[in-house]
Amino acid sequence: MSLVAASQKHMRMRKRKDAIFKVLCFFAAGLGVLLLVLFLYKIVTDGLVRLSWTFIVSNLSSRPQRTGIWPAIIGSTYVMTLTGIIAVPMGVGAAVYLQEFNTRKNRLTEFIQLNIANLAGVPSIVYGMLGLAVFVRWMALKESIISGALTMSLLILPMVIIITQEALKAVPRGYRDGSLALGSTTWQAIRYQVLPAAAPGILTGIILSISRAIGETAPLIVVGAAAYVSSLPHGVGDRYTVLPIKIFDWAGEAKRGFNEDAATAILVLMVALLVLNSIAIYLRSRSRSKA
Amino acid sequence: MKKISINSASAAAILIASSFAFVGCSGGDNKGEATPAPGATTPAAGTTAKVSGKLTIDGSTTVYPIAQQMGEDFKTDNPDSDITVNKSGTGSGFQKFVRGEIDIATASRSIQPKEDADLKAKGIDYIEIPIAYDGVSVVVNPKNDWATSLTTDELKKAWSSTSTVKLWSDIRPTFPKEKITFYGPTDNHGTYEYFTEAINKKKNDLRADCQKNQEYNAIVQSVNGDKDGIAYVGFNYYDQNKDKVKVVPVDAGKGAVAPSAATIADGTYTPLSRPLFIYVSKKAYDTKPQVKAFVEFALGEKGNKAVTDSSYVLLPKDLHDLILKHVSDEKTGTLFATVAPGTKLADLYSKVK
Repeated sequence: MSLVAASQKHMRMRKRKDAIFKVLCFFAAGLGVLLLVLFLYKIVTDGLVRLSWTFIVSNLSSRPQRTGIWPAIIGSTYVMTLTGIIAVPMGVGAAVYLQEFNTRKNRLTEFIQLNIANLAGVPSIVYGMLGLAVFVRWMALKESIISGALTMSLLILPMVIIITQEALKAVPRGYRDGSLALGSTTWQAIRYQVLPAAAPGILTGIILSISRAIGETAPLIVVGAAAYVSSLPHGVGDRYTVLPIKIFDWAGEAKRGFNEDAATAILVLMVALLVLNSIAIYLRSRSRSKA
Repeated sequence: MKKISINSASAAAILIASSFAFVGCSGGDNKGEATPAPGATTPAAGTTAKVSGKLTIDGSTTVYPIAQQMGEDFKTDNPDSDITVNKSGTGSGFQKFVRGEIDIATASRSIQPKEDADLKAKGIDYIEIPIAYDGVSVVVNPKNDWATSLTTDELKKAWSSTSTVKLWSDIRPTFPKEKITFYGPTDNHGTYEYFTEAINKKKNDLRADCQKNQEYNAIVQSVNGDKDGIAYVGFNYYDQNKDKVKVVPVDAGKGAVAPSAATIADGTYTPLSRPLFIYVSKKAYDTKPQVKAFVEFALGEKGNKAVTDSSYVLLPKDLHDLILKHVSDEKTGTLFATVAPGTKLADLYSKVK
């Protein structure tokens, strides 16, 4: 009798613990969503006031009501395109080497692997300082688009390598073996079997890396992205500004109207990020349905 | 020696040519550009020969709004020019100026003897031009009803690195026994250097527990949310946030004075009213027509408008005329490097022959 009562009591306590834990988890999940919704609400209500086609295609201005964002959009496009051109071949190449050609573990590859993993966790401002010392000053590329793009390439390179490696790892062993058994070289097996199979995963990684870089501010401030440029850049050697720099700049302005401009610029940046991320999701789902 | 004489001869030629062009279009009133008279002379700057080419400006965050508007309006008048304005901070701006990376450095304090020496070592001559006044404003929370004025001695007692002030009542016994919190800009701001020198009588001497922030808006927000907070910011940040913070009039021995356009311009808001500067590379001034044109533009009517639009204070007319003469005589070097805060600027110029 007493034994049953005790076990029932025990059961109730366990159930209660269960319920408490569930509520805690719900709050943990809910808090994140709540903060995001609040943030989005604030940004949208502040930003929609100024959002218009004119805002997007107008030049920068010191008058909050007249300013646009076009030079920053062009600057961001320049920097990100160049970053992609530099970082993608290097990153994918490094990953293919580490994953496909150098499959036997040795000290060197382990050392490289360890470094890449650590580099991915280095704060972005450190890349900015590296970029300032190496590209801006030592290589004398000045405070130009190419300095910014090279710095951003360094920043996303570890990410591109790691994600590409993961994508390559997911390709079944049989693809390589089958190809090799039919007499192909290692290069042919990689080129015609492994890379196409891993392509959606690699592309997703590239897009996610670049969408991270689009929002980066700190390293570009250090390598000299300007707060105000009167003209659009004409080449990779020109001075530039980018979207997150303008957001940062406007948020710190004394004139009140700039706060709305900052919110609107955040909206523009968020839409760009959403588009990029949706492409990544689409690519991933396509690769899943194929497999 | 010969090279120098050729340079100055060609500079003189440009000067003569441009002044002719000017006389031609503004009907003989060759002071038109300098006078901040309303309307009338606006077309003068627009119809002088248009210039093209790149111009890079970097330096003070405080001067940035002025420089940006000047750059923007200069671009409107000269569509083929290409202006970049950045705000790395006064100190960083001078570093880039020393490296020869920029044409014009903006500064919220005068150049330091060390920076002047670095430029000399690199053979970079520069023209020093005060373009506006700012009044560093001491602000508190709107709910603070006790700090209706502070003397400079009380400010020093509170802000210096040797300060023992922990409660408001430590500053003045009649103040409440509330813990006081200090806010201010980070060390790379000229405002920081100016405030510490003007109040604590020693550059960069400040109590260690002051919460420093790179962004003035964040400082304003902090004081807005802290009943016992106190901070110092540039006049424009107070001017744009009068609903969020309350200004404390400063008493330097002649009665408490609150910062305003009038008290900053006539020097009664002392010792915290200060000139803002642009430093122009003499080489760029001589060799790049757009730099020379920009300096003329900055000292002209639209330049003045950029100053007032950004909530800064215009230099008085007599001082402005002295500066114009100083620039048109192409005098290089600094008058301000070793000058104590609160000195009357016109006196400095009158000493130059």
